[in-house]
Formats: sequence, structure tokens, C-alpha cells
Amino acid sequence: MKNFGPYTSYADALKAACPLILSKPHATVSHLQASDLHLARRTATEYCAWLYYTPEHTYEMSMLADQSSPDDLVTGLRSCVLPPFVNDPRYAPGSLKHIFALHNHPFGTRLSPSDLRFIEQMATLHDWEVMTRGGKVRLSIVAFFSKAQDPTNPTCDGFYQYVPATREMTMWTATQGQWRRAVHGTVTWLNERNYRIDAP
Amino acid sequence: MPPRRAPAGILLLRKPALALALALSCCARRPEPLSAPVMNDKSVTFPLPSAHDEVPMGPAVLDGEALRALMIAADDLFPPGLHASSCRNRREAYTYRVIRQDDVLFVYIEANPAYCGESFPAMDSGAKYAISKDGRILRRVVDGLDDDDVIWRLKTPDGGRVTVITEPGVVPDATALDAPDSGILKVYEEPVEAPALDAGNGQERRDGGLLYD
Repeated sequence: MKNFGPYTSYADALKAACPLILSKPHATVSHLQASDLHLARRTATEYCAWLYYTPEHTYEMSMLADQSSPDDLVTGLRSCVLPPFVNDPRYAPGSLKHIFALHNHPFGTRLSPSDLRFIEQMATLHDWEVMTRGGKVRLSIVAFFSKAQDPTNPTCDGFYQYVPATREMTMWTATQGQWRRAVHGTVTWLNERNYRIDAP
Repeated sequence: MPPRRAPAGILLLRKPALALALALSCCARRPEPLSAPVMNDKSVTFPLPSAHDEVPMGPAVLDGEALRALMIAADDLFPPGLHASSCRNRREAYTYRVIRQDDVLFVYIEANPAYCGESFPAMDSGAKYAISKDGRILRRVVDGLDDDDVIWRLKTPDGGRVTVITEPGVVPDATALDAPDSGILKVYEEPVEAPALDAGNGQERRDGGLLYD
């Protein structure tokens, strides 16, 4: 993606991707939740992208996918369709390492069962762990959220993350530039639609 | 022979009727998804899965209440009359499952990517409804839009385990299950085990995608 990075650390790349995605139109609707829930639901839009590791040892973000076309308003779902592979013509096919499946949750909700199903499926295509210059990085899915009441300044307030390799569900929150990690537990599927979190 | 004319009285009736039809057509609202009234009854929790939920595919028999619940949920998520040009936005591209528990019908709608020739589901591509047997939507949870209750398994101070359902945003404390502000909606003293479908070690998970204990 133009105007993004490249970054030499995944943490920096994540911290840059979060406000970028949340700044897209209707990526957060927290400011409407109390005043006009109907409008919030109608306009809420999800965006998704891959954060990937290149042979040049840098982190890049793919183009954003979204569902803002009129056809997408015929359902109540606000899905985001992320292609399983990034096509970056600067690099040889197969040389890119897919690390984070990024998207936003306009209402700041936690990861849904279909989010987890998606990344579990991606774990059948991509490496669970990627060896980078900075160490091992695990494939995961991330849902950014903002609690901002000012739509012109959608702050990045945190994200939920799920790692298939460890089945770990975590929540990261940002307060005045300080990031805090809370491990909620490991995920166990009860069936294809329901998961349970086993607290540590 | 002069052209036959309708009696003036009929014309008088037709003009207002036409005007009314035009007025209605110009003001008719396009059906909107998620426009059905929802009671948002937080006391209704979606049931924990059980082995009895998994019914082998065979002849499907639905009673009228179950059919109505399915139709209410499908019409709310995919309003009839709206044409979706993209395959994945059509109601046919989803699976529908209904479970009855007491007087509530729980409807689960999940993406079926194979219908559109795709291999993978999209993120946030499911929804679930709790519908009373008289057809009222008691709760609706759309992936990515609605916060859902959470199922947890906790270690208790005496070394046992307990399964609880909490309100969204709550991280439960096993030492304070009975506290009034715990956010815990239900407690299952007997641990609820996952179905006996052990997928084995992590390497096997690569193939199956789903995880089981």
C-alpha cells in the first residue's frame, strides 16, 4: 500500500495500521451508538488488509478491501472479504510471509466466530510462525477499535488479537500512547459456531 | 362508432387512485436490512452447544414456528425484494440452523462459501437470532456489529472448573461468581465438555482448521 511504511518492526507497522484503517469512512461509529443506532448500523463499514513480511525484511500492508459498494447494503452483514494471498509485483510469488489479517470493528466488538474461522482457514495456507530478523512472529487476526466520540479524530484505542498457533485470545489497549496487553485465555471450539475461552 | 368512454364517475375515482399510487410509489421505502424490531432482551442467552444439536443431514422436518423463526431471521438479514448482484450477498449463500429451547427458537446463519465456488469465509460473515415462538426477535447478534455474550471456562479456588456465560466486555473472576456486579449471566457447575471430536495435535489442526480440546 502506498504511503504506508515500510516498517522494520511489526509493532511499529501495527501501530501505524490501526489509525490508518480507523480513519476510513465509517470505520468507527462509536459516536453514533447513543444518538442514532440505526444510522450507525447502516453506515458501519469494515476494512481489511494483510500485514506481510517481505524478503527485504520489512513489514508492508496490502491494499484495503471493503464492502462499501451499494450491493453490500442489501444485507445486514458487514463482512470483509480478504483475499488469501497478497499480490505484490515487486516480489516473487510465494516470497511474502503473511503475518496479520487486519480489520476494524466499527462498534468495537470482540472477535467473532467467523473471524476465528477465517484465520484458522488461513492457517492451512500460511506459516503459523514466521522467522524474521526480530524473531518469530505468529500468524494472527486483529480487530482494531476506537472509542472516539469525534468522528474527525478516530483514535486507535486498541485491538483484539487471536493467534491460531497458541489459540490465545488477547486484548491490547492504548492509553496516552502506552500499550497494555491482557491475555483473556485460550480458545476451544465447542462446535463450528461457538467457542469458549479457557481463562489462564 | 365513437370511442367508448368510461363514465365520468369512474374517471373521478381513477384520478385520485392514480395520484395515490404515484404518491405511494415515490415515497415507498426500500426495505432495509436489520430493520425488524428487536427486544434486546439480555436475559436471553444463546444455549451452549450440545451433541444433540448436530443432526446428520437427512429429511428436514420443521414445524410452523421454526419455519417462521427462520423466515423472520432471513428476511431481517437479507430483506426480500433487494437484488444482490454479488453471490455472497444472497441468502442462498448461507446455511441456516434452528435450535429450540423451551419457548425460544435460536437461529444461526453462517456463510457457506462453497455455494459461491469459494474456499474461505469472509470475516464477520455470520449472525444469530433468538426468536420467541410467537415471532418476536428477542436478541440479535450480527458478527462485527453486536457484542455477544462470552462463554468462559474458569478454574475455581477449590481446584475445580466451571463454565460461565458473561455479558460482553466482562472478564469473569472465579472467586466472585455470585457477586451481583460480576457480569456473569449463567453458571454451569459441571464443566461442559467439547464434543468427542479430538483433532489431536497442532499439526493435524493445519488440515482441519477447527480446534477441539
